[in-house]
Amino acid sequence: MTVEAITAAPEPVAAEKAQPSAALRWFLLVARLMLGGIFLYAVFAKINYPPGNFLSFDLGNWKLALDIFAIAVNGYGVLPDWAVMPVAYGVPMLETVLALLLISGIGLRWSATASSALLLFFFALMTRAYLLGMSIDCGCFGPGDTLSMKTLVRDGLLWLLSFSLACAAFRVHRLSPQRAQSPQRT
Amino acid sequence: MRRIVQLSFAVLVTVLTVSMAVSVTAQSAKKSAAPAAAPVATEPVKTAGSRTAPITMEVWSDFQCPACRNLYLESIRPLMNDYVHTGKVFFVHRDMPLAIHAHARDAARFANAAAQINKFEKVAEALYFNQDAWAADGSRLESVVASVLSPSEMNRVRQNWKSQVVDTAIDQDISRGRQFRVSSTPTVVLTHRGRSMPLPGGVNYTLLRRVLDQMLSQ
Repeated sequence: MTVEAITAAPEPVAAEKAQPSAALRWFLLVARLMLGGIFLYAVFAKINYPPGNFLSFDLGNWKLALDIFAIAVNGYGVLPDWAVMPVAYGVPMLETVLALLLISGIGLRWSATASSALLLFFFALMTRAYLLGMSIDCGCFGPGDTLSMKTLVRDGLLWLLSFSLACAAFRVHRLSPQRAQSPQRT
Repeated sequence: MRRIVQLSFAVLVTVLTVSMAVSVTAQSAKKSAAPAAAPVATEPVKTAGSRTAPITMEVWSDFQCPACRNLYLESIRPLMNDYVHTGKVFFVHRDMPLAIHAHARDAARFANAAAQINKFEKVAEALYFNQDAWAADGSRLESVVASVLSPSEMNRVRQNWKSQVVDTAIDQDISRGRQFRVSSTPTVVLTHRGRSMPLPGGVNYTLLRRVLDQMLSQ
């Protein structure tokens, strides 16, 4: 062995190629599209009057539709009177932004986290109302969606989907090739 | 190529998800829209206002239900002056005595018996105003009803109370409520331009006015 070989600095260990699995990536894609699609539909149901399907969508009655949604919001009995209308108008706006972010995949970690927080908040309100025996409209997907165990399970599963998506998004970010290229700390 | 596949899959999943959500709620919307025809004719004295009013408001109530009482006091009474007597809303009272309220059915029977002699509104008001007095054990129910009727009227109500007609009227209201999947009280169903929309739970009068005004402006 030559002197150069003995004294040469050791070759830097190549950074391990840690990449997210294909299954994880597909889950990320499917989950964000599903969640975004559901949020979009929730917005549609809140601003469409009379209640119906896409074919009968009438944007001209959005004010009436949101006033009807405000009745559902007020039914939970947690807001002062002055806050009901701002919340009734604000929730569909927030859902629209989240839907667009989720579908596009932009800032996925944060949009998924925000949607998880929002859905958890809704779920907590619904659970409280259910345990208090309140007979109210859920307001989740338009009028006539009465609060029940079925709606609780449905929204609970939605939250679970959103939470899983947020966790997966953070994991993918951690395993992304860009992070793997940074030099190993010893 | 991979990106094209992913994009195609993305579009497909989004469309499928939204379509599923639409079809599920379209079915329930159809179910709630299905009985949108004019309300089944009831005894006229359980209604108020003009049948030709542009909006029909049916309210399923339980006389022993505190939320129904609040709705009556805070929303229905002002509604009568502002919308019913001015020909804008046709109001229909529907009975739905809940099993959890032991004396609700008896109270509904008294109200319907009074309806047969055109005294429904007086008796209903008395029942709601004095709910605390009779709801505990039902012993003061008859006296509350009698307090707003003359002796001869009360005799007729007592006779009507025993008849099958009263139970039939209540059962018809419950049956109509099932068409709208009414399972709790109070539930308001607004019918406008042939479409019916259930609003379960108490409805704040300020918000109800906004909705009614918007419907009337169309």
